[in-house]
Amino acid sequence: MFSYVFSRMRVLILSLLFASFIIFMMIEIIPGDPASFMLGINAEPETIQALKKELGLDVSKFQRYLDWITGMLAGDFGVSYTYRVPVSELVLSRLGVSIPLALYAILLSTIIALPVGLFAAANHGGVRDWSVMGFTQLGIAIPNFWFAMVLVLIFSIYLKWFSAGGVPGWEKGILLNLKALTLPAFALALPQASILARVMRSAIIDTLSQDYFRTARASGLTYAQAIFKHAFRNALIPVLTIIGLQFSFLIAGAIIIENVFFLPGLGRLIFQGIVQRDLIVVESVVMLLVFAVVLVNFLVDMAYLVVDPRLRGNK
Amino acid sequence: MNVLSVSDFSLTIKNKNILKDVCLNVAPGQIVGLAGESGSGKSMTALSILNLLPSYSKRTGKIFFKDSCISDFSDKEMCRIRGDKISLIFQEPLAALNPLKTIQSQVAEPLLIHKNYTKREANQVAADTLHRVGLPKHLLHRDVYPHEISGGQQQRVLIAKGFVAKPNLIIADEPTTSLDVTTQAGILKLLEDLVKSEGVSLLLITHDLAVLSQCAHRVAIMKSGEIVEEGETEEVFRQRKSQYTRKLLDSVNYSPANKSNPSGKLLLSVDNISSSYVSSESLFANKQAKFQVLNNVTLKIFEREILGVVGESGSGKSTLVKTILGVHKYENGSIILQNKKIDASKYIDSETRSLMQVVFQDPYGSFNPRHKIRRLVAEPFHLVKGVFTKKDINDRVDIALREVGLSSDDAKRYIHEFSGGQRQRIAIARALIIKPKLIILDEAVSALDVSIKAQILDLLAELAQRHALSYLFVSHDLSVVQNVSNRVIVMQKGTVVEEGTASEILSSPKADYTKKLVKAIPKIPVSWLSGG
Amino acid sequence: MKIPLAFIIGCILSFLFLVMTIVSLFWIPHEVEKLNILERLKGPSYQYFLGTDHFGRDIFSMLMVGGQTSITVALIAVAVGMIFGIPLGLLAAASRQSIWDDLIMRSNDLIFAFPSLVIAILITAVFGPSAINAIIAIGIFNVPVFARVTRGAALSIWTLDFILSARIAGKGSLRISVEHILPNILSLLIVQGSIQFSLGILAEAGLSYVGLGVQPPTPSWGRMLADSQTMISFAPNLALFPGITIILAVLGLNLLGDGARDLLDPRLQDKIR
Repeated sequence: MFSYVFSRMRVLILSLLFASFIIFMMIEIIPGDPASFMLGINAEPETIQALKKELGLDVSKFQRYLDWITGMLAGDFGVSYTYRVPVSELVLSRLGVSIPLALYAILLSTIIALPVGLFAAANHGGVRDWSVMGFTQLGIAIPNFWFAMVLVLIFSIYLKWFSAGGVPGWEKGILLNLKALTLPAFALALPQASILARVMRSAIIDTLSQDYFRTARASGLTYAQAIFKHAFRNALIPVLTIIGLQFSFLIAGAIIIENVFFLPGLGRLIFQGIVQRDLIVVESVVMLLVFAVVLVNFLVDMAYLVVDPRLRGNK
Repeated sequence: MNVLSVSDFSLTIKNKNILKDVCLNVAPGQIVGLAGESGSGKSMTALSILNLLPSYSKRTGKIFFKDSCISDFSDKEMCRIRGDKISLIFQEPLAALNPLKTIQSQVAEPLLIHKNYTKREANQVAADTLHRVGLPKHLLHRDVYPHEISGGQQQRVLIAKGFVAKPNLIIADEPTTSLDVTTQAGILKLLEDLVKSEGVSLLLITHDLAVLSQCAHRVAIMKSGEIVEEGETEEVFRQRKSQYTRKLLDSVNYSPANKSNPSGKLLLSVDNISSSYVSSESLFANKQAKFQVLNNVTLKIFEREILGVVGESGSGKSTLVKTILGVHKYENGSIILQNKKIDASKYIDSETRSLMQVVFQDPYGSFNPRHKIRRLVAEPFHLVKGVFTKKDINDRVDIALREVGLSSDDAKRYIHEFSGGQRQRIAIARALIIKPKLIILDEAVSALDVSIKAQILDLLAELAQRHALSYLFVSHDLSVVQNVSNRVIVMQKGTVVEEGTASEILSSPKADYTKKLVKAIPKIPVSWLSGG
Repeated sequence: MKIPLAFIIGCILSFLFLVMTIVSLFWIPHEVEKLNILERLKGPSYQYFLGTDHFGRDIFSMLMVGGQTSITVALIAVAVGMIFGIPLGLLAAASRQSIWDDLIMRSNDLIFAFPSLVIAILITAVFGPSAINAIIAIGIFNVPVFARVTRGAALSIWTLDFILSARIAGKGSLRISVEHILPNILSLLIVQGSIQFSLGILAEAGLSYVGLGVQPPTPSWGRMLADSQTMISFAPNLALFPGITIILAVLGLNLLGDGARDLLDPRLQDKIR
């Protein structure tokens, strides 16, 4: 078992290293001179020089890379050029929106998808199965930002149940914030839930054709009991894989959704950073997001250990 | 009163007749054998008894368990019977067990379903039952998973699960087919033991008539969904009223008529080769686990000779085949084929490669499903490029197909249009086509039905004579190997444990392992086979 | 052979979109690049099939031309993914367990670690928004998908005996990959291609929505949605029509792909209930 954990950790660390390398390459090296890039075409040479000094661009690229990495490990993400505050402060405040949103969306999609997938698989081939398949096909085809707009149209503009955007801030109470995050979370959750439901369904159907399912039935379990006791847990393995994979798409979706709902999250931070050409912010936040994805995948790998005893030991 | 009584039972699935007027009876404490080749309907009979069929199947006739007509039962009522009064044990034990649950919990499950045991009581009974079926003490604790035990032990676990609720009838569908012959003997003994001491009845389904001759009280022979003969075992074997029974019994232990005469000239010399690998998982663990697959293996094949290689799973025989064929690297020693060296780590020229060809076991994976037969059979010509014109090649393909009993029209078709036996014929045609000196047959008849097996063995013998071929005949089945070969070597865990002529090996085995192997092979009493 | 209804619907929808896009290359009901403020925000009528937007442009014509963008970007992105991904996958499978296989798979996983949109943002941030960069951003993501699918399918074929036969016949890995492996996995790859195509349409819409895709005046479904956002309370059609168009296009392709996969790999086993 430990060999498994170590090898996954090794992958985690290597991925992060390579990712940081690529990000650094893209942001600091390819555009040529970050300082000129940030200031634009019409900047004065002296301003550019000053910025260069400030950014520490007068040392070698390799040195800059090392500084950046060691800085991040110590929690120092640099200082935002536009806002003149440490990036870490900006990030922390945004995390208070992005993390709850992501968790909310994952929770919603899992709670909806697993029972739906189970339902469809248990009624495999019947009308109920076909209708679930139809709905999920639709769910996958719907762009989540469009769905978000429709939700705003119906629930904010017509029904006036929710506000059309923004978060009140955590000081004003948990429930109020959750309410503000509900529409965005639903918009994010819809395509996720559709994909997950389909995966759940096919994972369970796969187990139905396994010999051990037949053994379960031959032991006297009813169809429903056999699915619940034997098929369900075995189907979790592919489902876990998909949840992990989907996480990065969730983040991508969240970036756009934050735009629709004017949520002050990490996505908006990146966008603003791009618009304002604040490469320091962009660089660090992208690194952070990649870290989140890689971490989640690592956690999924650890979750496999719990579910699948075959990974835990040797013969 | 019979434990099981199947009366004129017919099964139709999607307008296809699967079972027709099947009649079967099992008395208390009796072992009844149900024999037949693949597709005969034996497994469907087992599933029908417990009604584990797809919902769109149509059934007629009646099935009685003691005096209840279970064929009329609802699924809920059947659930009470399954696992409690009648159990069903399947063929592939690893697949039949849930990989995520401990063996103890799986054995305990029928008790929790059918009897009012607490979890603790059920686990205790489960542990006792596991002990009863012969699982060693260290495997009796709670945290053992199916992948951690061997195939034979897995099957014992399945038997434990089928037996734990003390049913009246156990149906075992090919319980030993995927196991080694030595393991098989142990499982069969266990089943017989359970019948004798606990009084449970056993319906034993298998294609292996020899197994049934040893333990079944009564035997029923199935063909194409119908029972063609039924009666007390010895009577059926002796009298063979049905033509099909005769055909089956003739094919058992079949010995081809033409046995080749080896010349003295050496063709292949394998000298002290070894091969090992390091398990990739252990690269991160503390100790490196080195597996010795081949250990100083030496063998010789002479021209016109058939050398048999017998080994069970893990013996290294498939690795040996790949090494000789030059696709697997070995660590020391040498392989010399007609004065040319065979070494997978170096380039082997086409001329050398064309001296040997191979026929594999699996008639389904041996051919690219997208190519036509002509292209498939002609593939070895890649080794003798430039020598033959296209017309030559086509002619040779036609000749080869005719030689194996097919026609040149078949060259236009695709492989999925042919049966298992026919596919092996095509594989043989492909092996013959560039006129090699040595053909390696790697479990070439193991997947075939017993009657087809005999035909293919005949064909192989005839071709060996006609084309002065040598064969390396690899199989786990000692009786087949012995009937076909001139000399035999026996392999165990990568080592050659014994070598001798075919008759010597069977009649006077010297090594312990060989003795064990010979003893484990189920044999039909000779007096039964001579007829009358 | 029973053809599932879903597949038929998928075929029809995909075909309709294809036709609509091709027709738009030669003819559209109204000009889309000129502003026509006098006609702004009209409802659906005979003249303007789906009405007009806030600049007076005919929505239906914009949708037609926007389809060109979507299809072009998604198609080229799939092509990029296939051209690079399939050979990589074949190489990884052919070198099974060797260092190449490891390397290719690790790089794959690495790309998967980046949220796709983030890469797109990075690329367009550094190089500027345009159709080409959208294609690159989406295409980069298709490469590991095809590599992974190809490798998985190829690996399962490598273990079959007829491959061993080919090796014994002296054929090398490259020849075997092309002659034996590829034809047997082609149908799977085509199905995956249709899926990636539909994902590409969604991705392009997302990129255009945030302003990182094709730039005005070229119409794009995603940007139509972005423009419509502020007017959604009084002109919901501007948001609904492009959205429904995207949904139908993606749905059609998905149904086509799924249906094709089911047709090519029928489940013959009867399961026990």
